[in-house]
Amino acid sequence: MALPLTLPWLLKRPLNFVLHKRAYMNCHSNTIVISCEVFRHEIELITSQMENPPATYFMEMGLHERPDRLRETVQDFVLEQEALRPNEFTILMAYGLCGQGLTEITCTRATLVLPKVHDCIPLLLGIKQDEAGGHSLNGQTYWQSPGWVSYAHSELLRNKEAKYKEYLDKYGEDNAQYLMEEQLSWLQNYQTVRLIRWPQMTQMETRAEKPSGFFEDEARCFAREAELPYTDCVGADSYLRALLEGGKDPELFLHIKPGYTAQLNADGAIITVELTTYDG
Amino acid sequence: MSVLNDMSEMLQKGKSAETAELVQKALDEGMSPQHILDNGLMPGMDVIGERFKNNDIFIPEVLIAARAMAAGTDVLRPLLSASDSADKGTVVIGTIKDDLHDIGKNLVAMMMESKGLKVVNLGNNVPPEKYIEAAIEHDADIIACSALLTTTMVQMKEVVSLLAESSLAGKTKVIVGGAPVNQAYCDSIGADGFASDATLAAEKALELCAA
Repeated sequence: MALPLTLPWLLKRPLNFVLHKRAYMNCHSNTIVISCEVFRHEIELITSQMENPPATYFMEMGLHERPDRLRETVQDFVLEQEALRPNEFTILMAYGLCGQGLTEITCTRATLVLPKVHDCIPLLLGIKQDEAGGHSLNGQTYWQSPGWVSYAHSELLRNKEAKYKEYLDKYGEDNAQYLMEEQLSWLQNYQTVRLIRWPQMTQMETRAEKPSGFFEDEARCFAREAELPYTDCVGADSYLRALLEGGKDPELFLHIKPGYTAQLNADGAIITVELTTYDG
Repeated sequence: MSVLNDMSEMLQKGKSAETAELVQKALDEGMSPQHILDNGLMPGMDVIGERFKNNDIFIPEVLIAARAMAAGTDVLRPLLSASDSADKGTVVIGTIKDDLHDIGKNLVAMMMESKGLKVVNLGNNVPPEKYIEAAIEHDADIIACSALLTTTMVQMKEVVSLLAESSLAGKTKVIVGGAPVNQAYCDSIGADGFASDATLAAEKALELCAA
């Protein structure tokens, strides 16, 4: 029954999400997951080991680059799910603030559970937000993970020749060279490309039907294209696992009830605020 | 078609060499540098700004148009008096500390220059105190802070606080922008203006300079 009801939403946003097939089997569960596709490999691995895994809906990666579009996509999903479900339920959100794309989301019946992190990196490293600064070399780390390797839009970097040819045809040689230099210049600001390596990486490769070492090979390839040294570090499943198990720890998660929303305050804290007092 | 219209057309197409040649031709015909800037180059960049705002064109087209604008103004710069270029105001711009993203910020700087503002570009990873030092050094009307990360944008508050304690308090305004920044955040830290894209940022800076 869920499929026909969901169709208008599917047709409206065909590019933004990919439905996990298990979603249809669990549409009456009182807990569901909405996730950025960056976590697909990790979440599918964890839920495959759970007795009663929550239904998981994956959204297109890269929406954080347009926070308004990310917010609209997630809000539409929340509204759609609330329309489908008569009772109270919980939506576990495998997101961080993601450029403020996850602030200002509201709900009328669901409770939204949101990790208190700014982006996907603490969730992949298995650490709290306030521990993340030390891992990033003051922002000079370009992170990679199985999801970043598989789903990130690295069109310009991965297709330098094709992009140069496109610019050459459109704007001439001088401008083509300028545009390539200008649009790749940001890479010079980074010190390293670093792969977050969970101990279960081989299992994720097997599940994704990729050869052993695939994610590292791809990250190394990215580093070569970016002309940056490759490094890696150990990640952990603890934060994402805690989310998928209900996100109960208030130190790690916001619980956003109807009438409330998430906000980044002026001091940089991720908090819930009542909609009646929200000044956004 | 007049040389000024041709100049605007070439600028919009991102033809740097042709734009510079037409600027020189206009000078040779006896036009004043300020007249060429106001009636040839700026109208072309205004069209680009408007089309960008409406999602009619995208970053590559803006970058090459701004580059053509710079080629044209390079010809004019030695001929424009210092007072001409500083008339509309001075902006100190940079991407906030620990944030290395500067394509968007550079686009804003180009748009501001094309509106006749003098722009001092501090680059990326700029500590809050550097904005204030540069603003004092250049007697800036505007400090423009950019951030692409929610982890770094919170440092914009420090810029506002330091400015309030400086000799420029009450004179220099702070505008903020970047993908995660919005009007609510601007208001919460007490900044003077927010703009959601490069064109609007240039317009906001002009508006605050004129206020």
